[in-house]
Amino acid sequence: MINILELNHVNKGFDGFSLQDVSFALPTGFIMGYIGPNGAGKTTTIKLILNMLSLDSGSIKVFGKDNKICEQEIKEKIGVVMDQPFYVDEWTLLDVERSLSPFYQKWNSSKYSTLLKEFHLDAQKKVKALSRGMKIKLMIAVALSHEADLLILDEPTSGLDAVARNELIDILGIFMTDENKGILFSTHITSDLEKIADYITFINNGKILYSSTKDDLLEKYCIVKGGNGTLNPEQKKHVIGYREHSVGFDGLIDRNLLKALPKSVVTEPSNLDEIVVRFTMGEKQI
Amino acid sequence: MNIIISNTAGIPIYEQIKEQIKAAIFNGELNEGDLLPSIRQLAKDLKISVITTMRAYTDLEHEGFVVSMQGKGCFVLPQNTNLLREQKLRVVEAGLLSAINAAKLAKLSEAELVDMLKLLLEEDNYD
Amino acid sequence: MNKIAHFIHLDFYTIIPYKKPLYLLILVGLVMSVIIESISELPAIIMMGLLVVMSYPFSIGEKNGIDTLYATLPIKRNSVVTGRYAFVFCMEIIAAIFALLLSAALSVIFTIDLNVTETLVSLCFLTAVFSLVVSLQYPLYFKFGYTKGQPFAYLFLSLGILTIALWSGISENLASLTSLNNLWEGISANPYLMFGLPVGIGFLFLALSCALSCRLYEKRDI
Repeated sequence: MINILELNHVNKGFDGFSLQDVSFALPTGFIMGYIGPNGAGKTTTIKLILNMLSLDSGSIKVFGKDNKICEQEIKEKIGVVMDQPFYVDEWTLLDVERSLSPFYQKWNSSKYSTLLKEFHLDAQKKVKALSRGMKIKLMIAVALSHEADLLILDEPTSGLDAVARNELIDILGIFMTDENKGILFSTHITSDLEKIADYITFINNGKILYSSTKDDLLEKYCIVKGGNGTLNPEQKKHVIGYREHSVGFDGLIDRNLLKALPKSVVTEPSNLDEIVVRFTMGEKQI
Repeated sequence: MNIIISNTAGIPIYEQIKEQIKAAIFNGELNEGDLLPSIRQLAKDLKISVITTMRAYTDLEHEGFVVSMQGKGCFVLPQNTNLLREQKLRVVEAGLLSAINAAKLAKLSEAELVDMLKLLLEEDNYD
Repeated sequence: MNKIAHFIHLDFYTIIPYKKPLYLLILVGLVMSVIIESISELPAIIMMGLLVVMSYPFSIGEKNGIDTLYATLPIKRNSVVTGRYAFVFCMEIIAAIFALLLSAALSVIFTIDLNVTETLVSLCFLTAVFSLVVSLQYPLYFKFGYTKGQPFAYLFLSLGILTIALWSGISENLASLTSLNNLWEGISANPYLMFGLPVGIGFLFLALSCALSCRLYEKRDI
């Protein structure tokens, strides 16, 4: 099985920010959570994949094909959901179909109307009349109607309530029952990914800090807590995002390094949020 | 077959899935040749990652409980009768130990306990 | 070719929800023509309206993040640009034919005099001016986007509208120059040149502008 998405040593520089040597791969049939604090470079990466920005160096392959050379062919099978909708406000949902379907070889009109009904979207309504959650569902309906194999989602759940987020996760779950599909899910709301993501790529300040399975990431690190003054400077170095407060300290640590710490410390399993926060605090490399 | 996982149990989810499938095999809920739910369907139903269900099934295959056939799914293998019997014996032993402890608390003598067992076996028509 | 046709279709759907101002302009032009009992200004008014509408795909587009939409569709950037120019060219032709038919209809309904040749010539030159203005505006929009490209584009737009408005005055002054007069005699003798030349020149401007816009849009970061 080839990788559905592959970035190799991608570099892109702007004033004041740059993506440096970004490499990661998503095997076909899995979901990758792309996490990192705001401004880390997630949206920039997605824009590079879609050729909205041009690479300074490196390569990006989708379905095993170069994203510039085979751009048209690739985009037949990519569905995109951005946090801002990109359809004309005044269009009705039927206009959306009329305007976009001619571009796709595999547009399934009955699927589109079925999906609109399933998502409780009124085809006669205008795009501007939709709530945020409905706009996200509309973008997904469009993506599914042209038989997209790769879904790229950029912050789809920010601004959605718990019900809408749950509905979205359900939809993605059904999408992934096909082993030929893949999803790149970029978000800073990591709780959505805790459960369903297979792979996690963590980016901060334009650099990839981690890219492998979610299970490995969560097994590798744990939260460590203890009393003030328990650790010597040598031991403190092992703790990522070390935070001392009036009644103790806490931080994140690689489980392999736990034995270097005194036995009096308390450990508990970590979660993705904690990992992002601690690494951002600690500015360390994984 | 039901699989119920707990996110807060502290046991990795793939372990929980393995244990529950093994238990289903041991108590006869799953028999030789039965098809397990597909990896992806299970992941979607439990709202967990596909890699987790894959890992559980791969481990079960390595441990000899199931076999996966390309394009068809995961099937329950005929279980080694000794292994199965041992598991079942363990369940009996646990039940008997529990009765013994209860008997101690009730201050029953050994003879009274054995009598009670014989009576129950008779009532049950145990052959 | 197909993608360009699809893009023309997309552009049409992009601006169609905003057609009301255009209808209004045509109505004003009609009423005015009837009142002053002269149809010779009508083509100019219609073409002026078209000139304003031709920046709509960019202004509406930018408001709705349409560059992102184009990036998600299976279409190359070159085809986006070529499609936009093809859309403009189609709209030009449609507008010119519409203006001619409307003038003819008004002439019949209100029994106003209509010089068909004069109207046709007028339309041909108007499309040339229109093409020139669009050729100057569009590369700016493609490179900078609507908001940033607007100040300069407005300059060209204003010049274009001014030219069209003062058309009658300009053509009279041009006619008085004897050297141009000879050229003019030569051209007006040949109907194909009369009609074909301005349209052809307009088309050439558009083609050159399209090539430039392709280069500019290709490099643009969205």
